[in-house]
Amino acid sequence: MNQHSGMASLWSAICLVFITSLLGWITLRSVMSETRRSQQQLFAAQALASSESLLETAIAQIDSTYSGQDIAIDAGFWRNASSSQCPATLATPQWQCLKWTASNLGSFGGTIKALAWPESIDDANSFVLFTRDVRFAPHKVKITAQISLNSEQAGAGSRASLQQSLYIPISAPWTPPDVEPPLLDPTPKTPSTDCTPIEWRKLFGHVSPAQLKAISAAQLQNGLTTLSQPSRSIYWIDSPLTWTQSLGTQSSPVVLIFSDLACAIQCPQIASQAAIAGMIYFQSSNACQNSVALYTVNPAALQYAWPRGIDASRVQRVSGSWKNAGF
Amino acid sequence: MTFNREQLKGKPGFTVLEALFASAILALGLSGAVQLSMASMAANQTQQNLDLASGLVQDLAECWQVPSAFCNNQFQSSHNAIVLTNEAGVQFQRGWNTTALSTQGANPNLLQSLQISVQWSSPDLPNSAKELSWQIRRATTPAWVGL
Repeated sequence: MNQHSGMASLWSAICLVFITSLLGWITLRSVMSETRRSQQQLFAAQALASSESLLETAIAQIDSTYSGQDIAIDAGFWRNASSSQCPATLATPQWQCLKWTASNLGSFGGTIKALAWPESIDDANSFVLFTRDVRFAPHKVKITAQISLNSEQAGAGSRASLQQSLYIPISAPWTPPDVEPPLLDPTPKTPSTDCTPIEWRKLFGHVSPAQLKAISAAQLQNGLTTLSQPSRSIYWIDSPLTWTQSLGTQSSPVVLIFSDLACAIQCPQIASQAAIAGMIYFQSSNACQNSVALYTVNPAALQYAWPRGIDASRVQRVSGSWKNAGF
Repeated sequence: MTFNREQLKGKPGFTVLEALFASAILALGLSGAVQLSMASMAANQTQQNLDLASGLVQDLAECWQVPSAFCNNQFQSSHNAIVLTNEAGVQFQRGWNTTALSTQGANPNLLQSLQISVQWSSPDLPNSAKELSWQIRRATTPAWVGL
């Protein structure tokens, strides 16, 4: 045994060295793993900053489109929108969705110029989704920005998504009319004894004709009809032809407006079989030639949820709507 | 007490060869362990620097979006550069540049961009300069916070 004690000492030395090396290796692995975690945190922060940049770009896109412009620009902005671009949970005619991608230069119609995207974004795997409820909240647009960092970034492929909602000036807070409308009666009306046309403002408050026309166009474009679920609520009619369609129900009244254009010579007649539950308004003094009352019911169809006291004439962020990730 | 060669013969102990061999293995192992430790320390230092640079960048980016007096004061000029040094003697130079991006609207400052860059290099390796760049945008669209 004594003859082997030198070898045992040698083995002990080797084992000690091995253990020391193993500990060193484990320490290095631990440091490297911590380094990777820290780097990934940095990449995630970079992706979040880029998605925030894209979200802000989208907000500026809406702000620059709507601010100081005729609200008719709304139709141009949403020209290429469709329900098919909506997430599966929102694929009904109620929702209008517009996907903005960097490669699709014609995302917006008309003369609307698309803003340039931040440089760090991978154009092929990133998008902005504009969504709004054209039936119950056409004045509120939800913006979702989803990005992936491009190959020029250290964290290429890192993803992030953000969302925020905006108020757009397509409507205004509704104030009760000065005149007292009669109770709901969906049967055709007898001629009004008062031939003085009711002033627009008295019925619609601060909501302008152009705004209602824009909402009507959006509902029509999105496929809302009297039979759809939910049904269409605003009808802006430029045609002088006799109106034959029954519209609205007591629980879901409509606003039917015959424009100056429709009433240019004489306002359209309402056929006797057409029962309208809601408000009928003629923009022209020629209205008095028709055999219907100028209004029939409180215009619940255009009462959208605006915060009290808001200046609805400009684009504003919806407070508390900023959300990180998810639809 | 004295020993002669005859007495030491057959007694346990290290031969020169064993001692040399053990020393070589020990030296090799220790040098490996030292190298591993140095690599760990270097990686740790690099990461510390990157973390600090990232913190400096994100701090400024956050400040840009907060309308406090301190932050507003920091962005009085559209571009600037400051130098900071950490406890290891590494110098960090932080610079930024704000620009207004062109939009269709009447407000020329509707969409702004902040470009932040942090550069640093180790005092021992002056040629090992590193840079972290960051870009963020903001729209001046206000938020409705109630009356």
